[in-house]
Amino acid sequence: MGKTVLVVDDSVSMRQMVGFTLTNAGYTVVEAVDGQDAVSKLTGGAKPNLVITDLNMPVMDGISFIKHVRAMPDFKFTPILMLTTESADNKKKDGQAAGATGWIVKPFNPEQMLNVVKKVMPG
Amino acid sequence: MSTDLSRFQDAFFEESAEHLSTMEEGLLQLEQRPTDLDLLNRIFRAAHSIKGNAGMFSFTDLSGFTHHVETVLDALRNGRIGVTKPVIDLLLDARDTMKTLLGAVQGQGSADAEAVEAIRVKLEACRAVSPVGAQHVVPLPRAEVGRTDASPRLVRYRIAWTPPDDVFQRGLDPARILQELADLGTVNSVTADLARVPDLQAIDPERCYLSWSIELETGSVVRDVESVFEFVREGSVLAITDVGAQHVVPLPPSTAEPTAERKRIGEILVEEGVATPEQIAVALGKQKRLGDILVEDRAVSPQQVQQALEKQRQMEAAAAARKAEPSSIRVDTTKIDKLINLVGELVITQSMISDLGHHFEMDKLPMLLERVVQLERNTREIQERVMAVRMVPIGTVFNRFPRLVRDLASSKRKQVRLTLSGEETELDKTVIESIGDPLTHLIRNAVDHGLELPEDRIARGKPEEGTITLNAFHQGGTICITVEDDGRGLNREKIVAKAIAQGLITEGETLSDDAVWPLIFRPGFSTAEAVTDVSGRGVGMDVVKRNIESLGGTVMIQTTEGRGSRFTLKLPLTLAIIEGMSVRVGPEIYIVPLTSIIESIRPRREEIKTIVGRGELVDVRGAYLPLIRLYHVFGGAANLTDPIQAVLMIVESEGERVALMVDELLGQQQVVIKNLSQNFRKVEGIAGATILGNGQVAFIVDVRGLLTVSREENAVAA
Repeated sequence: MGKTVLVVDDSVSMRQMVGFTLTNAGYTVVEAVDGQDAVSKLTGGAKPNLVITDLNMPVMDGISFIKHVRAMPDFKFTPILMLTTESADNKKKDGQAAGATGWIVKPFNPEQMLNVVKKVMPG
Repeated sequence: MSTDLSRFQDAFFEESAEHLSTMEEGLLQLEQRPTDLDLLNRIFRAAHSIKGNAGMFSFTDLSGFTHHVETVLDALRNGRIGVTKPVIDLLLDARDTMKTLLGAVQGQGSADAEAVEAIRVKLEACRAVSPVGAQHVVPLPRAEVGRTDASPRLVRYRIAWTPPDDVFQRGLDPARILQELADLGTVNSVTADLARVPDLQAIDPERCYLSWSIELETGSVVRDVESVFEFVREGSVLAITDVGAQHVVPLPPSTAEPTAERKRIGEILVEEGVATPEQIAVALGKQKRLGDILVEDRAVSPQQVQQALEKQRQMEAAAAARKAEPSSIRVDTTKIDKLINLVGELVITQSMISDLGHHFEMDKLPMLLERVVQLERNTREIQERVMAVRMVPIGTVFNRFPRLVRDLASSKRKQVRLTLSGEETELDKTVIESIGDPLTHLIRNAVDHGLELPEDRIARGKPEEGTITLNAFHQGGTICITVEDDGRGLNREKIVAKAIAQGLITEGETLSDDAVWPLIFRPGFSTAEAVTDVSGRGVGMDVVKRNIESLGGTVMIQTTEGRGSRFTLKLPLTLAIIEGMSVRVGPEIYIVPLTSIIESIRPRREEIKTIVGRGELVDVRGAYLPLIRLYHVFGGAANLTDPIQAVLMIVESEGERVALMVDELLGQQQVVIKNLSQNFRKVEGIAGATILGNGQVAFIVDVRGLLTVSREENAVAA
C-alpha cells in the first residue's frame, strides 16, 4: 500500500501496539512521543498520509497538536484520528473543532482500529 | 489479523510502574502545593494512561478501578473538590490499590476484592461531596462497533446529506463516505445538489458547497448507515428515511450463535445440583494420568514416561528461568552518544597506530609513544563511559521515602520534614537495587526512635517539626549517603546497659564512644522500649550493616545526645571494579579488597602461639587472632613458611578479624572483577579473578568466605 501513518502517543506500549498493528497491515509507521516531537517530525520532512494521536500527552497535548498540524499547509487536509478514552462527546467536539477527522475509542482491538483507519485513509 | 497483544504487556507493566511512581510523587507534592495545576495534570495523565492502556490489554479490574481514581482527580482539577489531607490519603491508598491490581495481572499475588471495593466506594463518595452535585457516571467505554443481526431484510433508505463546508479541512473526503455507503449495499441513485455553489470568483476551493441525496438499498440497520457518517456528523445536515421494504430475502440463520463460555463438565453438574463438589473431587481423583494408562497398555515403558516427565520439568524450569532472567536498564541516550563518539576516536587512534606500524622507522618512535598515550586515554574514557551506562541516579531510591516518612509520621503522631539532596548522584544499578532496604531501615529508625514527639521537642526548645535529611554525594572514589535526624540521639547508658545484659561486653569495661555506637549493629540488639510495628524487634541494624558490607561499603555513626544522629554509608561506585592490594604467595598473586584490610604486621616469635583445636594464633596488641596461611587454604607453595619472616595482613569481615599470611605485599591497584562462577564454578574464599598487566591471572580473595573455610578446616583438624 505504501501509506505512511504518524503515530503520536506518550505511552510506549500504545505506540508499540498501534505501530505493530499498522505495520502488519502494510502501513509504514512513524512514531512520536508527544505533540511537539510529532510537529518536529512533520517539519523535519515526514509526509504521513494519516495521523493517529493520543490526547493526553505531556509537553504538547493532542488538541494543540491537531491545531498545529492544521495550520501547516502540507497537512491541511491530512486525516487525523484521535485516541480517546472518553466516550463523552465534549472531547470529540473539542477535537473536531481543532480539526480532527475522527476518533478511536479506547479500548479497541486491532481490527477495530484498522477499520477506522481504512475509513478515513485517503485513496 | 492476530489480536494477541500480550507481547506488548511487558512495556505496559514497566510504563505503568513509572506512572504509579509519578502519581505517588505527585500526590505527595500536591499536598504541599495544592494549587499547582501542572502537577495535578501530570498526576491525572499518569492515571489516565494506566486506565487507557489497561483497557487495551483487557485488564478490566485495573482500568475500571482507575477510572474512579481518574474521576476524583478530574474533580480536583475542576476545583469541584479541594485538595485536603483526607483526599490525598484516599488517593494514595487508591494508588496502592492500583499497584496491587497491576501486580495481580502480572501474576504477583492477588488483589483482595473487598479491599478494592472499599476504596472504590470511598472514591465515589469523595466525588459525591462535590457541591455541583452528582456527576453522571460514565460506564467503562466500549469500542463503538455496532452490528445487530436483528433484521435480515433489505431496506431502502433515502439519505439527504449536506456536509459542513469545512469538511475538507477536517481531513474528511465526501467521496469516501459515498464509497462507504456503497459498500453497505446497492446505491440506486446519487444526486448532487449544486444550488449552493457560488460564482466562480467567489469559490474557495477548500470549501465544500455540495449536497447529496442518495438512495441506498441495504440489509444493514439504520444505525450502521448512520455510523458511516460518524465523523462527519458534527456540522452536517443529515436525514435518513426508511422508504420501505422492497422485498424480503430470507437469509440463512445466523451461525454466530452466542457460544456460552466453555465450562468443564464438573462445573455444569455442580451448578445443576446433580453432583456435589466433593463427589466431583473424588471422581477426579480416580482419574488416571495419561502416563499410567499408556504404561498399563504396554504402549510405553515406565522409564520412557519418567524421561518424558523429566523433560517436561526441565522445560518448565527453563521457561521460568527465561521469564525471570532479563533485567533491563534505561540509559540516557546522551550517554550512549558519548560512548559512540569515544569509540569513533578509538578507531581513529587505532588506524593511526597501524599506519605507523606499516612504515615504521626508529625516528618515529616519539610519535608512536604519543599515539599509545592517546590509546590509553581513549581506553580509560571508554571504560568510564561504559561503567556510566550502569549508573542510575539515586533519586530512584530516594523517591520512595517521602511517602514512607509521611505514613510513618502520621502513624507515630510525629511531625517530620524530609529533606532530600543529591538525588542526581549516580550509583551502579546493582548497588541501587540493594541499597533500598538498608536505607528504609535507617529512615524508619530515625522517625520511630530518633525523633521525639512534638510536645517533647517543644519542651526541649526544639522546633515542633523534626527534620530528617537524606543526602548523597561523591567523596573520592566512593559514594556517601547520609541519613541525619535532629532527634534525641543515641543514648550511651542504655546501649552499654543492654550490651552488658546481652553479654556483648563485660561490666566495668571502659569503651570510647566510637566503640559503643557500633554495638547497635550486633545481631539481636535493640534498645527500643516498646516493640512497635516499625522497629524495635532487634532485627534491623545488623541487617543494615551486613547488607552494606556485602556491597563492599561501610557504615559510620555520629551522634550527640539530645541533638540527633547521623549515619553515613560509604559505598563503592561500582561492584565491577575494586580497590585491591596485590599480594604474592609463592608464584601466585592474590588481590585482597582494600576495604577489608586493617593493617599489615611482621610479628615477633613470642607472639605466635599454637592452641589445640584453634590452630595458630597471633597476638596483636593483646587480641589473639587466628593465623591463616594463604597457601594452606588455596594450596600451592609459599617462599616463606615462617610467620616471623612473612607478612601478616590483618583483615576484617563482619566484625571478625584474622591474620592472613603472605610472602610479600606488591602494591595497591584497581582491578576489574571477572566472574569465576560463570566460567568455572563457585570457589569458596575466592570472589573472582582479574587479569594483571602482564597477562597473569590473579584471584581476588573473598575475605568472608575465607573465614568460613578456615573455620571449617580448624574444626576438622580438631
